[in-house]
Amino acid sequence: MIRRKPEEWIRVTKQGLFVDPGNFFIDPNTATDIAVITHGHADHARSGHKKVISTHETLAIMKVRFGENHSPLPYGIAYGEKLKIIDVVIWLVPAGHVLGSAQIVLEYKGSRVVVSGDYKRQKDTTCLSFAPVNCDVFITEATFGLPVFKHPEAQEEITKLLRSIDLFSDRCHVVGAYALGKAQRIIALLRQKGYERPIYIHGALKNLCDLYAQNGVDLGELLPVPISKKNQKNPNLEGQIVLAPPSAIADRWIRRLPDPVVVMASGWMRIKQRARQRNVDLPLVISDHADWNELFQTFHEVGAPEIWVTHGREEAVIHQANLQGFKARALSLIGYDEDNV
Amino acid sequence: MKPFSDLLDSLLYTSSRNAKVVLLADYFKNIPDPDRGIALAALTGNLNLPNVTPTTIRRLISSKVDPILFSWSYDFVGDLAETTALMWPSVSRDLEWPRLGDIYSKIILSRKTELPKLISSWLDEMDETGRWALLKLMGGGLRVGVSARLAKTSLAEFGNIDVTEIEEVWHALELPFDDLFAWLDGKTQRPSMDDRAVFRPLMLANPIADKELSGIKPDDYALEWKWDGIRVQISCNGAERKLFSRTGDDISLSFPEIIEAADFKGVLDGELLIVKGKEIATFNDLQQRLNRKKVSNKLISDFPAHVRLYDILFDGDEDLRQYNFAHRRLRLEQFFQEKTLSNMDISELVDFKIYKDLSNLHYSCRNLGLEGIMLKPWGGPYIAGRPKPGWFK
Repeated sequence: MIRRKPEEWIRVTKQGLFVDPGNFFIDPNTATDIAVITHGHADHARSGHKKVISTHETLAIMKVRFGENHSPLPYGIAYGEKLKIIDVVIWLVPAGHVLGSAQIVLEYKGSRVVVSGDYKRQKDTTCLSFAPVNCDVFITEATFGLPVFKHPEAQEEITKLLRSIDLFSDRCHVVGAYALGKAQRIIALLRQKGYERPIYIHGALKNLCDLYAQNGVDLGELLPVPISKKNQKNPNLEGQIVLAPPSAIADRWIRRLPDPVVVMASGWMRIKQRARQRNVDLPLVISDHADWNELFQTFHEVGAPEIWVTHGREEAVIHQANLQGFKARALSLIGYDEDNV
Repeated sequence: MKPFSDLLDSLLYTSSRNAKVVLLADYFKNIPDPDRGIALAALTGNLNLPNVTPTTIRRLISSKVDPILFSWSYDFVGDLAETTALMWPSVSRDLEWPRLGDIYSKIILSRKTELPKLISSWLDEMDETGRWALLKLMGGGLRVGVSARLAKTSLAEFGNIDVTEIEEVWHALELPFDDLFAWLDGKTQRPSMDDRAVFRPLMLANPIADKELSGIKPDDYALEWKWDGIRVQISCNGAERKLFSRTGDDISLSFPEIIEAADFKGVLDGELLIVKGKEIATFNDLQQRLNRKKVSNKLISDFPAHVRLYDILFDGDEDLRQYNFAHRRLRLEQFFQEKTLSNMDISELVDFKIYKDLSNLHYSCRNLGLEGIMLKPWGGPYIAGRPKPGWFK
C-alpha cells in the first residue's frame, strides 16, 4: 500500500473540512450530503445535511435543537465503533467538551488523522473524559491559545459563587452559561459542592437539561423561572440561583429578577477588562475548552509529529508548538464563532 | 495579601455602590491590623509607596517568558500589570502568601534598587489575582471605583455609626489607623483629637431658585457677599495649625503667612482671597498660590493671602456648631477682637432693607467682582454638608 500523506486527502473548503476518499465533510457550515459532526454546538452542528453521522448523544442534542426532521438520515454510532465511509475508516473518541462530544479518528492508506473538534482536559462529570489517540496529524482547536489562559479548577470557581451567595443573601444570582454543556456542568458542580436547593433555569435551558438527566447526569431539582407581571420583580428569587443563556442576561429578561448579581461562566472571564466590558459582577473562569497548558499536554500525549491548528489564536499555538519540536501549521476555517464558548 | 487582592478583584466588577459598601465593610470586619489599615490607606489614596514603573515590570516579566508570546498576549489583554500577572510562571500553589502589612513594611524599609527583586519574589508566592493586585498597588492608582467618601461610608457601616463621625476624626488619623479600628470594633472610645488640628466638615449652601428668593424675609436671614476665592477652614489646636480646603485637603504649606497669623485655639470658617492693598485680586492671582509645597517670599509679597472670616465652629475647646448663626456671629466678632488676627477680617453683614429687590442684587453682584450672595437663617445651627433648610447662595 502506498502511504498517502494526510494533506493529500484532507482539505479545507469554503464549507469546512473535506475528506476526499470518504466524500464527507466534518462540521460543515452549510447543508451537505454527508456530514460527520463532532458535537452539538451551533457552530459545529447545523441542520439540513442529507446524512449525519455522530454519536447517539449528539444526534439527540440536534433533535432537541433542530426538531425531529433535521436530517433524513441520522446515523448514530457508539464511541469506539468503527465505520467505513467509502475508503475511509472512522471512529469516535470522547473529547471531554460536552455530552456526546467526539474526536473523529480518520484512517486512510496507512495514516491516521484525529480531528479533535473542541476539547478540554479538566474533569467534568457531565461527559466522558478526553481520550488521547496516537496519530500522525492532530487537528486542534486554539480558542484559548495564548499563555494568559490558564483555567483554574472549576470547583474553586464555584466556591466563589457560593461565597457571594452567603454575602449577598437577599440578592438573586443569575449565572450566564451556554445552554449546551456549560449550564449542566455548573449545575453538577454546585450539586457536588453540596448545594441542594432548587436551581431556577431559563426556558431555553430546559430541554437540554432534561436530555442530560435522561443520559444519567444528576442535576437535582430544577425549576422554571416564575413568570412575573411586566416589570415586577419576583420576590421568590431572592437568594436563589438562576441559570440563563448569556443572551438573556443582556436582554430585558433580566429585569424580572430581584437585584441580580450577574455571574458569567466562561474562559474569557480570565481577562478582567473583558469581564468588565460585559458588566459582569462575578466572573467565573469555567471553560469547556483546553487552556494553554492543556493544549500542549495533549499534543505530547497524542504523539503526533504534525499539528494543524484551527479556530482561535493560531499564531501563538503554532509558534510554541514549533519551538517544542512539532511541525505545526494553520488550518484556516471560516464561520466559527467566539461567542459560543 | 490574599483577602486584599480578593477585595480589589470583587470591587473591580461591582458597579453598585451598596454592594461595594457591603464588600468593604465585610473586609474591615474580618481582616486584622495592620493589614486593614494599609488597605484603607491604599483605597483612599493615602499610601505613598515608591512607584514601580512599567519599564521595571517589563524587565521583570521578560526574564521569565518568551517575548513573542508576551507581546501577543499584551496585545490581547491590553494591560501591562494584568498581562504580567497572568503570564508569570506559577511556582507553587501551597506557598504562604505575604501579608499586606509585611509587604508594606518591607517596601518602606528597602532601598529602591532592591525593590525589583523583592517584587519578583512576591510574584512567585501568589496567584494571578494576587500578582495583579500587587502590581496595581505598586503602580500607583488602584482604579477599582472606590472614592475616599465610599471608603468612609463603609467604615461607618462596619462600625454601625454615622459617616459624619468618621469625617470628624478622619484628619486626625494616620496609617495604620489602629485607633480608628479599635474604636469601630467597639473596644475603645472614639480616637482623641485633643492635641490635633482637625478638619471639621463644612456647611455648604444650596443654590436658590427665583421663587424661593421672593419668599425670603429680611428679619429671618443674614445677608453676606459671597467672595470669589476658595472656601477654607483654619483649625488650630495647641501646637498644630492647619489650613484646610473645602474638601479637607491640607493646604497649609501653600499659605505660610495664614498659618503664622493663626495664633489661636479654635476652628474658623472663611474665604481665602488675595488682597493687594485693600483691593481683592482676581481668582487668577489666587491660582498663582495654589498647589505649591514651597512658596517664595516674593510670591507672598506679590500675592498676599487673606482670609475673610464667615463663621466660628470652635472657640478653644468649646464646640459652637450647635448654636444658631446669630450667636456664632457674635462669638466670631468677639473672638476676632480679642485675638487681633492679621491677614484676616470678618465678612461684612449687608443691610437687607436697602436692597428692595433681592433677585436684582443676586444678578448684579457678578458685575461687582463678587460671586454672589449668601443667605443664612439667623436661627440655624452649623450642620456639615448641604442641609435643607440651610444656607442659600
